[in-house]
Amino acid sequence: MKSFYKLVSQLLIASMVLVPFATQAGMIGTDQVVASAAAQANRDKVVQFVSRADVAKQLETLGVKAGDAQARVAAMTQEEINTVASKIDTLPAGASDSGWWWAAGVLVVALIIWYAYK
Amino acid sequence: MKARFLAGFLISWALLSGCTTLSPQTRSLKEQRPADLPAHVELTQVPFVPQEDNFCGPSALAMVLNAEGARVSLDTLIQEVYLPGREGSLQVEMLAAVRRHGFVAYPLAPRFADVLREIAVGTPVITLENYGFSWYPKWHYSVMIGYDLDEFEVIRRSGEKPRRVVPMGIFEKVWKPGGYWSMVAMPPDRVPVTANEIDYATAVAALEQAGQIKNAATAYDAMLGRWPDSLAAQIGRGNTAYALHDLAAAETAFRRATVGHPDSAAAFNNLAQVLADQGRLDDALRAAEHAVSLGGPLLTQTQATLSEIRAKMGKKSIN
Repeated sequence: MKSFYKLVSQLLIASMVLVPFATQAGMIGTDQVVASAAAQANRDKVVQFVSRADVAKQLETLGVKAGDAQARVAAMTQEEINTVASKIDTLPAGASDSGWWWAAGVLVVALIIWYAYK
Repeated sequence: MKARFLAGFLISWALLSGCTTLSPQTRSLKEQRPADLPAHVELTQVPFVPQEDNFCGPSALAMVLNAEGARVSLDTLIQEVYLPGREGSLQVEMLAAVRRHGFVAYPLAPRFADVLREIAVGTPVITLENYGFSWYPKWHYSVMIGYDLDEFEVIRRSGEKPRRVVPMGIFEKVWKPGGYWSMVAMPPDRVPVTANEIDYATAVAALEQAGQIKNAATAYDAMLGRWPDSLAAQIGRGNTAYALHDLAAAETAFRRATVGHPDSAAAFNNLAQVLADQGRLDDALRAAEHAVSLGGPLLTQTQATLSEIRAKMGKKSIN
């Protein structure tokens, strides 16, 4: 029995090590062809892969429903996933052109003039 | 005393005004007006979707998508791009949402003239603007639907205003902080006039990867109309045909790719796979062997395809 467990665990280890490197025979994706054409200029750039699930979770943290979050990341490219993952809190988030900034601007002008004039 | 007042005034004026040094693209447009552009354009057919709350992203998308006949509701788009925790919408998600409706999402090059060129051929353009300061940004999306090169003005649908006319220099000042970012949502059968081959292929491959296979196939066809020799479009056409189980069309596309690009391992590999799927194993073997002989970064994949074909042939001969 012990040797059976040993065999199972060895098989598991082997599969965990080997599976990520297993190569799929068959079609080469368009994205790979495009990427290799685009990467010719910066061939040595290291691409860090972030998983879609991680980004979906980040979206959920920011108030998106779980099902929606998955559908949203499914429509992104890997490059976009990488961008969002590292900068989701600082990327521009387009919202409103409401006029508060005019008030802020006027305040800044007033302060500078007051400072220079006093 | 007066000098100090003047200094204060000048500093604030420099900070807030739209002087020409802050709008270099407008200045060069004024100096050298592009001869290929009509003087006045306004795309009145673009519907206006007024913005509620912080939903300028969804509103802008609703306008450009519905202008091309997509029937998308504002609520759907809010669900697809609005990020409550950031009280706004990210550029990446604006692009991704366009794909979900079967359109090609294409960010334009950061050139004013390119934006005007797209509008001139009938495509409304979404732009990202900053109405705050660099240290306290206030980002906003709007839709540019027209321009006037005599008055140097742009016409936009923005927020609650269906038609906002702004001098180009002022617009450039708020457009510049986001890196002159803009995007178009293209119906798959049209290619933006300012698109370049590699960037557009990337945009269409993203549509394919998002599961919009039929629309991606149409977009690759449109690409081949513009760039008949495009390797990415030929492979993409083949891959989408393959995904749609149209092996004959896939074979045609890959053959065309192997003829035009005899050094493309991907073209030979995919041709081999399509031939193998049709049971033409001898032809498949030749193509797969050639793919492997080309080497390159795809070698592990081409070798895997070759050994699979060899295995199939082995089985066949035993039977």
